[in-house]
Amino acid sequence: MKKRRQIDGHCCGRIQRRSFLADIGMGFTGLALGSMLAEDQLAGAEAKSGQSPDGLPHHRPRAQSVIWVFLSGGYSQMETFDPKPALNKYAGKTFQETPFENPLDSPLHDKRSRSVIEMVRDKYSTIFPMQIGHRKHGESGIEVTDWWPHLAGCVDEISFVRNLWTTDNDHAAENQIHTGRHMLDETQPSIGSWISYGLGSVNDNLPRFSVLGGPTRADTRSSFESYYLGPQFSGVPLSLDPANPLPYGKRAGDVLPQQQRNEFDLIGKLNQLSGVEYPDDPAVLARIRAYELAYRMQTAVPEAMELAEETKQVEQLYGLDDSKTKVAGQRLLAARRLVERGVRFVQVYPTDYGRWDSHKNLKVLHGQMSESVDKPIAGLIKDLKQRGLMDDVLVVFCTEFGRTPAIEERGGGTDGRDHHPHGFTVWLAGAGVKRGYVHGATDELGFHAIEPGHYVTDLHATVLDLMGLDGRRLAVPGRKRLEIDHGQPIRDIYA
Amino acid sequence: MRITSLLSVLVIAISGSLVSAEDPVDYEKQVKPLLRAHCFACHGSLKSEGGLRLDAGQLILQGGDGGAVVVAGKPTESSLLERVGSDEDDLRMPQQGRALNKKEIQLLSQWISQGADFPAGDMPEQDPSLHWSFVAPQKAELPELGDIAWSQNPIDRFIAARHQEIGLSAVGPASPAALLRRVYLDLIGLPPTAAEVQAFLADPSAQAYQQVVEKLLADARHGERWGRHWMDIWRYSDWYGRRQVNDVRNSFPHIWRWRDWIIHSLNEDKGYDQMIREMLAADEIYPQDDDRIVATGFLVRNWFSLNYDIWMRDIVEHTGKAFLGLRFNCALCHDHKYDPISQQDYFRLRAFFEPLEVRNDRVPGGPRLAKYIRYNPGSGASLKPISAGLARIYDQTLDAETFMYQLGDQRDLFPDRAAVQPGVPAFLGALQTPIQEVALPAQAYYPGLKPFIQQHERESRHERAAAAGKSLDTLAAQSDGDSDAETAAVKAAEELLADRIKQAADNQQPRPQALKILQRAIAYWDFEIAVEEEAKASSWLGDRTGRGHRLEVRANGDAAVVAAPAEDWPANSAFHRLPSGRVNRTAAQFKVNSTGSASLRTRQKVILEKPNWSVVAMVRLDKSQLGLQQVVVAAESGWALLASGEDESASQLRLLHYHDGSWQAGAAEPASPPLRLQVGREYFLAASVAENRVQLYLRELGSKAELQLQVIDLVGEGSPPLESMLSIGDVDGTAWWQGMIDEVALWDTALEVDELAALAGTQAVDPQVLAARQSLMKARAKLALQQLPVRHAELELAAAEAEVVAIDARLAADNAVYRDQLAEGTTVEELKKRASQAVRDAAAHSAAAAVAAQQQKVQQLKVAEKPTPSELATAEKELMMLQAQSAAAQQATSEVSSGYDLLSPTYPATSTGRRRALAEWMASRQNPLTARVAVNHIWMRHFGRPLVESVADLGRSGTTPSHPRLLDWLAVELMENEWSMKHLHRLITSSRTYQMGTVAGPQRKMNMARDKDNHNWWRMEDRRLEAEVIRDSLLAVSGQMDATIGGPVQDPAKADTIYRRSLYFSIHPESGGQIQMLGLFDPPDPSDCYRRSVSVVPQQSLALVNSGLVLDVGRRLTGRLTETIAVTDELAAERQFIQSAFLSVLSRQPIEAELEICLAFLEKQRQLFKLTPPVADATTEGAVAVSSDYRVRARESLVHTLLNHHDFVTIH
Repeated sequence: MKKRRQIDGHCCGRIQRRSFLADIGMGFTGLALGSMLAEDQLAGAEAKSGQSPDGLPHHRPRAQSVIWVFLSGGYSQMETFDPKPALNKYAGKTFQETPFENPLDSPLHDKRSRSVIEMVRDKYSTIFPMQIGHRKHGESGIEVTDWWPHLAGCVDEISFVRNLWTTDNDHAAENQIHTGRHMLDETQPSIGSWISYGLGSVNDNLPRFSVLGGPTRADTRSSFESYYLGPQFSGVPLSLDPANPLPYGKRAGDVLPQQQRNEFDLIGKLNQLSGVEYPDDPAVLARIRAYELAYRMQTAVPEAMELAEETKQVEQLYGLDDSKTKVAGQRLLAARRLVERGVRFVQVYPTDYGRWDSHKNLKVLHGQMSESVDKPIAGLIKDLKQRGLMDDVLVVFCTEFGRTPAIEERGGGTDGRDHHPHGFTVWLAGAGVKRGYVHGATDELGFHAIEPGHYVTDLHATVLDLMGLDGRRLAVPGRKRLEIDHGQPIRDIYA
Repeated sequence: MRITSLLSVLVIAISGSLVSAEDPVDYEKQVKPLLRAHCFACHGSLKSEGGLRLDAGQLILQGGDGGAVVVAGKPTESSLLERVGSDEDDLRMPQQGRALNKKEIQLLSQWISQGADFPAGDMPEQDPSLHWSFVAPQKAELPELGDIAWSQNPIDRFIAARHQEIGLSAVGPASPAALLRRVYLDLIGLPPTAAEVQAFLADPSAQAYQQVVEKLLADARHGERWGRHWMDIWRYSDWYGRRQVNDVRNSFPHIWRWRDWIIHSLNEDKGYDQMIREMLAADEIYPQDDDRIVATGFLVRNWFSLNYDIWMRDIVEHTGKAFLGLRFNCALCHDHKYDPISQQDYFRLRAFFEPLEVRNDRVPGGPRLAKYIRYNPGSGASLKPISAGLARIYDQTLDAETFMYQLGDQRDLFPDRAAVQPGVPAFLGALQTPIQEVALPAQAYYPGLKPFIQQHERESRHERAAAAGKSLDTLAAQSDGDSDAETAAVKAAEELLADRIKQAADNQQPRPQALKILQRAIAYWDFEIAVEEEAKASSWLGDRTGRGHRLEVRANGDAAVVAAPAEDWPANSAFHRLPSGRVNRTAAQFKVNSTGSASLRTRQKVILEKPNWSVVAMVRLDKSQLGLQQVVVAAESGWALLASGEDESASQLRLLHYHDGSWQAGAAEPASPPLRLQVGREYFLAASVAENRVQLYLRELGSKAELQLQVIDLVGEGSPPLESMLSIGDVDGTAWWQGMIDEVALWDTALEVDELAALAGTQAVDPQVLAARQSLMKARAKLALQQLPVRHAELELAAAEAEVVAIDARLAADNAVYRDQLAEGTTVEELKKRASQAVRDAAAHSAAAAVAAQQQKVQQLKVAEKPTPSELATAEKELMMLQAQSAAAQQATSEVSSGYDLLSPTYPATSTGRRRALAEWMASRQNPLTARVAVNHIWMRHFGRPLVESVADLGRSGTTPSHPRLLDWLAVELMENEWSMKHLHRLITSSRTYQMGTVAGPQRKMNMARDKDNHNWWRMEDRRLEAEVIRDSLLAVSGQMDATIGGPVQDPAKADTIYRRSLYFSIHPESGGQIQMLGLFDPPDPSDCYRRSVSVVPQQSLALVNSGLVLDVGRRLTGRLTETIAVTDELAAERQFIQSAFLSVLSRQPIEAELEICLAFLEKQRQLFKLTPPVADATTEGAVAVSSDYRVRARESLVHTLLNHHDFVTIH
C-alpha cells in the first residue's frame, strides 16, 4: 500500500497522524492554539468546557477523511441506482390502476413534502416508464442503469442505500441534506463543519474543510456553514486555479518573496516580545503559530491544486481529456489530492446548481449529466483503490432528493419527473463500508422508502461514526440538538 | 399480558447484571441528575402530570394519581421501571425526548432494589416562578467587605468583596497607554491617534482619564461602535433572498434607516426602555414620527415574503431572546421544558404580532411608492428592491386571529381550539397597559398627507409649469419665420411630383410582354397609406385609376376601403392609373389588428369563371414572429403559402393545401435550400393555379435570382374552389401579416413562368414618381416638424397648468377630507368633485400632449436620413395607442365623479394597540428580565465575558450569574437612571475593575490556584478586536477614514477602496453579504449573534499580510510619518520613525528590544530593496504604489509588519 506523501516533515500515514494529534491536543481556539498550548504545558489548564473538542476521535475511527460528492438538483433514483421494472410494466397507468397500494394515500406523503412557500404542490400519478435500460453488474450483481457504464464497473466497491428520505419538497433540500434541518426549522451546522469541529485537520497547511465547485449558488452557502460552531469550522471554497486558490492566499505582486520572508520573521520576533509582555494572553502563541502556518499555506494550497503534476494516465482516468467530463474530473481529482494531504472533509460539487433538476426532458438531461459524472467518479474510486486509500477515505455520493415515479404533468409536461423527497438513493464507498452491497429499498414503484427508511441525518450519523465521532458528545451547551439531528448510523453497511 | 412479560425480561436482564454491579447507587449524584434531565419537565415543579412528581425522594415514593410508582427494594413492582423500559410508544416514558438506555434503567433499578434511599435534606425543585431572574432585581447594599480603599465605585465594591471571600488579590492597573487604547476601542471602536496618546501620557492628573471617558461618550463614533453591538443582538441584516436575481425575500431594502436610528439613539443616550418601545411599537405610540417609526426595522428584519409563519416565529424567538433572555422558541412545539412558558404562552406572544404587514413609505427626495402586495405562492413573481423608501411595519389585519398548531407544523392546527388572545406568561406579571385600539392620525394611515409630500407634489408641478412656459417661449421665438423655407419646399415638391406623374403617364413603357399581361388583369390595386395629421385613425388609399379611397378603421379594428369623392382627396393624391382591364375595387377589404399589422382580404368571394387563375403581389415582411405562421397568400379552402418564422429575421416558406379540414404540407417538400422571406426586403410573389396544379413563384426585387416554388398537385385532393376569398397576409383573421402589401393583381388565367418573370421585371412604380413622392412626404414632414414642437410645447404647458390646478384641488380635497380644513362656502363633496374634475382635465391635457410628442417623434423618423422601417412602424403604433388614450381621456372629462388619485397608498385608520401594550410591559421597571439582559450584554462587551454566560437565556436552563448581586445592582442602576446606557458605560469604564492590567503578575500563583479561569475578575482579560474594529482601525491608522455617519449601505465588494466604517457595508447571510476580509475574523452571523466567537486561524494572517487594503494603509501611513521626521542623522531618523510608527499603529512606544529588532529589520530590507527596484503591481487597481526610495520602502515594509502585530488586533 502506498502511503500518503509527506508534508513538511510530518509523515501523514495513519498511525503517525494519530500520534501527532495525541501529542498536540487541541485547545479552544482550534488546532493552532492547541498545539502551542500543549508545547507550553498549558493545554490542560486552559481547556474550557463548551469549547471545541480536543481533536481526538471518541472511538476507533474506520475512516480518516471524507469526500462528500453532492449532485445538485435531485437525480432520479429510478434512472440511476434503483431501477424499477414495474414502471415500464405500468407505464401510462395511474398509481390506482396498479396492484400496488397508492403511495399518495400514505400518511407519510404529506409529512415528507413540506414546502417553504405557503402553497400546495400538485400530485402526479401517471406512471412514467424508466428512460434508460439497466442491468446487473459485478460479482454482487447490483443493478445500475446504462447511463453509468464506468461506475457500473465499480459496484463491487460500493454500498448503496436505497431508502433515504427528506422532508423539503423544494431545492432548499440541498441545504437540508447537509445540515439535517428543513429550511423552516432552526439552522444547524453542516456535516462537514461537525467533522472539522470534531477532528480538525491533520495538515494545518490546508483548510481543514475544503469545498470544490461550490457554492453552486449564493443561497446554498449554508450547505457548508458552521453557524454556532464558529467560522473557522466552515467549509473553505477553493478555486481550481493554482495561481489563486484561496482568498488572500497570494502575495501581492509588488512584494518581494524575500521581503515577505523577512516580514514574517519580524512578526514572529515582535509577537514573541508581546508574549513576554503579556504572558497571560493565550492568543499570542496561537497567533505566532497562525503566522507560521499562513506562510506555509501560501505554498501548500497552490501545490495541492496543481493538477498538472498528475500523470497522463490519471488525467485519463478522471476524464480530464474530454470536455464533457473535464469539470467533474478536475474537481474530483483535486478532492483526491486534498484527502491525500490530510484534509478531513472535502465537499465536491461535480455539477452546477440544479443541473439534475429534470422537470422536463429527463431523458436528455439525465443522460448528459450522467455522462459528465460517470467516468470521473468511477475514476476517483479506481484511483483511491490503486493508491491504497480506500481504507482511509470514505466517499459519499448523494443528492438532495429523488424524482417522482409519475410524469410531471404541470404545464402539459410529458417527459419529466417532479421533486421527490419520499425515497431516493445515495451511496458510500471506501473506508469502513461493505463492498458490493445494497441496503434498503423503495416500494415497487420507487416511491416511498420502505420502513424503516433513513432520514438524511442517518447519513450524517454514519459518517460521524465511521470517522470515530459521537455527534452527541460534540453538542455545544446552549445549542439544542434534537433526536432527529443526531440520527442513527446505518450500521448494516459497515464492513 | 404484554407488559408483564416485558417486565420480566427486563428484570431478568437487570438481575443478571446486578451480580456484577453491587456498588451502592448515589441518589444525589446519579439518580437525581438522571431524573432531572429526563423527567422533571413533566413530573416536577413545572408540571406534575398524573399527579406525579419525581423531583424529590419523598415525592417519588409518594407516587401519583395512579398510586405508587416506586416500591423500595422491589424493582419488579415499581411501575416507573415498567414505563421507562416499555417498547410501546404510547406507554414509554419520557413521552418526548429520547428513551432511557439500558445503563440508565439499570441504575434506577439498582437504586430501587437498594432501598430507594435519599438523603434527609432532599428538597423538591424550587417553585419556577422564584427562579432568580423571574423575581424583580433589588439593589443590594454595597458590600463593605474587601479592599475598601481600592475603589468606591460600586462595581469595584462587589468585585472586591468577592476577592476577599475567595482570597484573590486584584492585579495592578494597566499601563496608561494600554488603558487609553482599551477605552478608545471599547467606547468608539477605534484606537487613539498618536497625538491623543502623547497628550494622555503627558497628563498625569487623575482627571485626565475621566476626561477621556467623557469625551469618548460624547463622540459621535460611540454610537457607531455600540450600534454595531446592538445590531448583533437585534439581528440586523440587509435584504436577502436571491440576490443573484434581485429577489427580496428576507429583511427589506433600506432597513439601514433602522441602523441609523440605533446609532443616533445611542449617541443621544435615548433610554434603553424607550428604544424597546420604539422598536416594537413606534407606529402605535408615535404614529406621526417617522424618525422613531424606522425603529420598527427590528420587526421588519424578520420578515420573510414566502412564509409569514416564519416571520412570526422569528419575531417571537428573537423578541424573547433579545429583550427577555428567554427561549420562547422552545415552546413552539410543546410546553417549555424548563421555564413556565406553555405552548399557549408561545402563541399568545405571537398574537401581539399577528396583524402585521410590511410597508414602504416614501422619503423626502425619494420616488412615490406602491403598496407592498403580499407574495402570491405559485406566481413566481419576485420583489425587486426599490431605490429609496422607509421600511416599517403596520397592523394590517386588525382582527387577525392566532391559532395554535402542533409540533411546529403550521399545517396541523389543533382541532376545535379557539384563537388565542395576546398575552404574556403569568410568571412575568400582567400587562401594565391594557390592549386598546389606537386611532391613528390621518397622516399615519395616509402618508400622502405628509407636508414634505404635499409640498413636493405642489412644487414639482409648479416647477414643471414654469419650465413648460419657458420652453414654449424659447421655441416660439426660434420658430418665428423659420417655417417659410419648409412651406416653400413643400410647394416645390408638390409641383415636382405633379410634373413627374405627368411624365410617367406619358412615358410609361413597360416591356411589351409585361404590358400585355397586365392588361389581362381583372383587378389591380396599388396601395399607399398616408397618415394625415388630423385624420386620427383613418388613412388614404389610392389606386392606379386615379381614384382615392378612404381607409376607415372601425371600433372593432376592422377596416374598410370606401371610395371617396375627388374633393376629399388629400393634396398628395398622386395615384397611378390602372393600365386597363376590369377593376373590382369593392372586393377588397383591409384589416388592421391592434398591433397595427395589416392584411388584405377580398371582401366578397372572387368568382372565378374557370379553374385557371393567378394572383401576384409585392410584399415586404417587416417583422417575423417566431413560431407564428403567417399566411402570405391564400385561397380559402384551397391552398396557402405559409411563412413560419424560424428566427427574428426570416420566415421559411411552405406551401400548404387544405384537405380533410386542416392545412397540410404539400406532397412534395419545398425545394432546397428552404425558401425564405428576409425581413426588410421586397418580393414579387405570384401564385398560378392551373386546373389541379398550383405553382408558386418568388423573386426578390433588385435581385436576379428567381425561384419557382414547389408545385402542389391537387389531383385526388379535390379541386380548388372556383369561389374563394383571396387573402394576402392572413387566412382567417387570426394569423397576421406584419409587413407591406402593394400592387396586388388578379388574373383569370394561369400565368406561365416566363410571364410571371416578365411581370416581376416590370418597374412597379415609376422610380421618378416614387422619388418625387418621397421628397414631398419628407418636405411635409419637415414642415410639420417645424410646427409640431410649438404645438407640443403649447399642449405641454396646458397640461402642466392643468396639473397645477389639479394638485391644488387634490390638496384642498385631501385637507378637507382628512384634516377637516374646509374653507367657508364649500363642502367636502364639492371639493372632491372639483379635484376629480381637475384630475381628469389634467389627464386629458396630458394625453393630448403625449400624442403631440409622439407625432413629433414619428415625423422625426420620417425625415431621418436613413429611416428604419421597424422603428417608424413601432412609433406609429405607439401613436395610434396614444391617440386612442387621448380620446378616452377626453371622453372622461365629461363624466361626473368625486374620485381622484391619492398621493400615496392608504392603510387602516386604527392599529390594534397590541404591540404598544407589549412594549410598555417589556420596557417597564416591573419586568424582571429586561434590564438584567441589557446589563449582561453591556458588561460582556466591556470585559469580554458576561456575568451570565448564556446571554440569550436567563431562564432556568441558562447558567447562573457569576455575580448575581452586581448584576441586579447594575440592572436597578440602569432603570433608576432613565435606562441610560451611557451612565453604565461611564460607571464601568471608571471602575478599577475595568482599569486593571491583564498580566497576572506576582499574584499569579495564588490567584490561579483559586480561580484559574478568572471568573471573579482578579485581572482584566486580553481580547481580540472584532472584525469591524480591525478594518476600522486600519482605516483610522491610515488617516483616510471617511467619518460620514449613516446613510445607504455600501457595497462590500468595494470595501478596499471605500473608506467608510465597516458597519455601513451591506451585511446579509448570502454569498457576498459581508466584507471579504471581515469574514475571516468571526463576523456576526446576521441571523443569530447574541455573542461572537473568537478564533485565531492562519487565514486571518494571510488576510492581514496579503490584503491590498493593509498594504495601502501601511504605505500611506509611512508617507505621512516620513514627512514628520525632522532629524538628519540617519540612525536617529530611523529610530524616530520606528517610535512614531509604534505610536500610530500600536498606541505605545516601542521598548528597547523592539527598537533594536526593528532597526535591524530596516537595515536588512534596505539592503534588499537597494538591489531590487520596485515593480508596479499590475493586478491591483488604484493601489498605493511602492515607494521608489529604498529607505522609505523599507519603512513601508516595517509599518506593514506592525499592522500584523498581535497587539494591533488585541485589546490588552
